[in-house]
Amino acid sequence: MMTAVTNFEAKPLPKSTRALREDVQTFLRSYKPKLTEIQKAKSWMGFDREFSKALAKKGFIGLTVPKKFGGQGKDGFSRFTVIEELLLNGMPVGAHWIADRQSAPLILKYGTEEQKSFYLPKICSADAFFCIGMSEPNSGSDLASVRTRATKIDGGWSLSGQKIWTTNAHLCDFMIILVRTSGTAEDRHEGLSQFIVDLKQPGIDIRKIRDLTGDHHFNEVFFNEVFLPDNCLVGKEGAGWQQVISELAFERSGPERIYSSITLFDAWIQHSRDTALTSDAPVLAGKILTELITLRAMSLSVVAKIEEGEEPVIESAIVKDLGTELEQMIPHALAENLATNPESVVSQELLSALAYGMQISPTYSLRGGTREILRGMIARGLGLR
Amino acid sequence: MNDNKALLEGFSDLLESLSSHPFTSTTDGENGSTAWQKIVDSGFLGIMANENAGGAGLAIPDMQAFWVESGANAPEIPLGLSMLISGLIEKKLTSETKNLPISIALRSVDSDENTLRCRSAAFGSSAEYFVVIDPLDPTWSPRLLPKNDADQEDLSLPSSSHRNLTWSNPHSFGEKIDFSYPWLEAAALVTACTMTGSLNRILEITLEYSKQRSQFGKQISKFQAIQQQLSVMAEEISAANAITQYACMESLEVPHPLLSGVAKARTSQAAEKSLKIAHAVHGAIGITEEYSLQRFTRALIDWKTDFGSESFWNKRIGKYLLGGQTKNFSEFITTNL
Repeated sequence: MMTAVTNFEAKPLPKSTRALREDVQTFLRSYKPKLTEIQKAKSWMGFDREFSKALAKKGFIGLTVPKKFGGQGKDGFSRFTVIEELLLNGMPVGAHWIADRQSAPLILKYGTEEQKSFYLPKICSADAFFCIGMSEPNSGSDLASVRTRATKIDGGWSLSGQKIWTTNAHLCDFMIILVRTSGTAEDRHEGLSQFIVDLKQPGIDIRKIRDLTGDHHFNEVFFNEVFLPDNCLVGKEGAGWQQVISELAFERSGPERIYSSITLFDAWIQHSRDTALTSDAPVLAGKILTELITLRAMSLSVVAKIEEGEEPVIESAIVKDLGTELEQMIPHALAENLATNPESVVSQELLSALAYGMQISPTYSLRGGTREILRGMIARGLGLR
Repeated sequence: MNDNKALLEGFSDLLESLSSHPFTSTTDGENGSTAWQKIVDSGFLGIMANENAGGAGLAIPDMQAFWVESGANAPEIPLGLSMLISGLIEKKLTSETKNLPISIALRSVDSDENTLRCRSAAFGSSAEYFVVIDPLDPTWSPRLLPKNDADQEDLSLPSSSHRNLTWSNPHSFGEKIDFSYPWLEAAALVTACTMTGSLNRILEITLEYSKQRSQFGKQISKFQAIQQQLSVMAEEISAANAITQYACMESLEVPHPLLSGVAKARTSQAAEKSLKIAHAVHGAIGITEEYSLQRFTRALIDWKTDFGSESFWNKRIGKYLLGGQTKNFSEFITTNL
């Protein structure tokens, strides 16, 4: 009688991942530069090429990529363990994040042998960083309406159009782009394809967009008759929509949809211990902990489904919507708690990090599919549309 | 777990076959007692008892699904708690008491040596016996007591299953249960699972209704406002399913000291959000006695505060974290999960 989508079968993290977690902790202790609370709060928005290279040397990138392509050939639970530990410590993992999370799995699933041999080792050694070319000025939530087009020419394709909100395009080497290869925007899910674009090609213009905190991670990317050789097409021509949906399941279900505010929580816990404990601190700490433990169990359940070869698209949407709600709640609730108890002095570092968290947190439920779009998908999973 | 699949199916079938009985009370009224007698005859009450005592010897990780089924089918009776208690104190139960519905009640702070009070006792309307525990003082030995010996007060609200119970003669305080066991955590965990069953049921009922009901010329399930609400409800109920499964799986010998409370807190939160949405989608029909939704939402409202509310458990868990045993969330995971 249970509605299928609400059945999150619990799968605790296998005990075998404990040694791996200790390896990561040991590595972080030896390498870790002293990060400020704001730097920690940026976490997977932070871009640090050298740190990514150091992680790659230890084999902490491309954990699920087969060994013959330079990866570690491990399971999704191992990857979960490593990225969880990185996120909990607020490490700047943004440089390799997209490549490790979704570009490598996409290439592994749909790429040719030639593409796998070329790109995957570079991803695993942190020599190739990827960004995502999905949104356009008039295609946000309505992704199927993209107008950027690749036209077939001799020996390849000619790419023209514009992408926007492309995180770290100015720092990355490649973009995996969703474009129209036949038909028009009215054809919706038909006629879309995915390509790997080398961002050093002529005809590409990357312009920065500053966000409301003053940071530069967003970009506009313009393509003017950029030549793409035939071997840049990923998967089948015209099958781009199905491929993107499967890519988004990887994008939505991971622990980065739970932990964006975790270092703020840890810093607040530390502050609360160091000062006289306020009477309202335990309930708030428990409320956040209850959510974290539950969401972690749900995220692990999704990992298990992916391991079993399923595509838990709806389950991922559920985890992301609940997860981003918690991520958004944390900085506001902590700042509220501190401001309710003026008898204790709060460090400027914690206050600044909380202010950053509150300002940037609206993005948490925008990136990777908005709350309203996710809920629409869940409604479809419930058989309502 | 797979070995129990047939048992679980048998349990489901039994409860579904009883669904025409209203379970209004186990002894008042012919239908209620018939239903309870059928459960007794089925042998499922002893499912956690040792195999050499005629039980199936199931442990907490196996029990989650049974407790969920209880909540999905029979929210009026303390079926989940009776299965737990029968397994724990089978030797204390006589042939007379062993087949009666048993609940757990919390000793109120205004009890003294002459009076034992329990306020808003869970399943006060349908249980015949209570294991009375002290939620604040673990050194106070629990007692097994018959409801018949207590003064009963029904809170002037017959539709609530809660009753105030007072045992006023120290000689009637019953037999001590003299082994140590985390009774409150156990009651919280069983209740969280039972709540999850009722939540699954109200989602099913509400989805079904939203597809049948038409307004403005179309099914109300086609309106985005309704779809978004039902999605939120499904998310909350997913969380309840996940955390109760996880907490039971991690409870090997005894209920997990932290996760049992986490499960109760999270499920209570899910209940409050979900039952509001379920009633909002239904409109007035959901408020009527004859429509099944209220059987489950009334129970959920009672259970939300039974054996520790959301904030009660959050406060305990938060105190543990702030107490400094673990430096941060990473250490918390390594130490506890």
